[in-house]
Amino acid sequence: MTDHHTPPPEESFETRLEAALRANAPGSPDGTQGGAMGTAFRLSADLVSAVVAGGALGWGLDWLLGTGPWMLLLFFFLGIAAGILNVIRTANQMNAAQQADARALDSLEKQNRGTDLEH
Amino acid sequence: MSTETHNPFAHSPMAQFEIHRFIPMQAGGIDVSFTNSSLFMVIALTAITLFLSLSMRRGALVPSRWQSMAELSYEFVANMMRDTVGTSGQKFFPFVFTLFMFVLFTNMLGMIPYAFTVTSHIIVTFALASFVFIGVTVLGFIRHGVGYLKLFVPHGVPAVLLPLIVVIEIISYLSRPISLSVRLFANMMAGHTMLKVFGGFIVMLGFLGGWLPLAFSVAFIGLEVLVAFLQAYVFAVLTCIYLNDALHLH
Repeated sequence: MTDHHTPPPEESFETRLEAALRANAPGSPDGTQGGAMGTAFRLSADLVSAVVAGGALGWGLDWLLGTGPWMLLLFFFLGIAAGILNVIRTANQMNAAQQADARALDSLEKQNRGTDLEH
Repeated sequence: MSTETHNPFAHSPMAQFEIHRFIPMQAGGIDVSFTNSSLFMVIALTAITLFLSLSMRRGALVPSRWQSMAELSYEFVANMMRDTVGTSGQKFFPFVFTLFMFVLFTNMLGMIPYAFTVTSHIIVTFALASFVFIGVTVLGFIRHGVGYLKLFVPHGVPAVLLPLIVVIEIISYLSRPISLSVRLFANMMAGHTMLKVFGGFIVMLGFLGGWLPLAFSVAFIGLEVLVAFLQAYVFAVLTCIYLNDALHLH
């Protein structure tokens, strides 16, 4: 499936079809169609989970080392930092995917215009 | 079931998430009863097996409707893996496909009225996610040895900041199974609670006023079906992304 066994005779059609499919893919997790709700859920889960992970790690260290609430406090804030890092990474991925989609759509439109002129 | 009708909390929106023991069992002091959750896991696995094996029984060159559905789900996961992991990840296709189909079927089975939604319990999604997390971590260490720890050291960080950044990266890594499981569980539980609440509104407002929540419920069920699919997809895609991190260090 990865490689075409025989080079398709209409390369342009294949690429156009692919671009159109990608641009119109319903419910892509990062696309706007799939729902802003999904995006919000994803980002908030990324943020909260890191805070929970940091807090749990700090709590565990406190329990191991007997260092009062200090590790919990420290790792809680480190967890917030990690959460923001998570969110930025996810948002960057989403942006990149969206830009790729937009570019695919652009080239599709350009090709369409080109074929229109030919006729 | 008849006891439930007398239960004053039977119409509580959270009653649908209650676990009922069907066959009580104990194993070494641990409760391993066969519950409604287990029942729906078994139903999901049976449905997947029947769906795939029956629809692929003929294996015709020109697929029937059922066969093309089975092929579609295969190709969907295969394409997703190729996009995120590349060809070297094909070895793990059976795992990701199983995971995707299981989450998809349990989510979709939950959309049937009176069915139990297995994925609305965080312990189920967390077990799935930690299996993925531990598996990916072990795989990373097998592939790269101690070099896998380089994942926690980003490029171009000043040496002064390194201890801080490494700790933050480790926390970020540890948060993966939590975010993976919380996302699926929260989506399913929130959606099903909302459905039940609005179902309650329809009954309460009756024939005169119940049409508005009814219309909302119809629309919301559509959205929930989308969410059920989307969350299965997101779960599988994130598994692939983690797999990619373990296979190709950058």
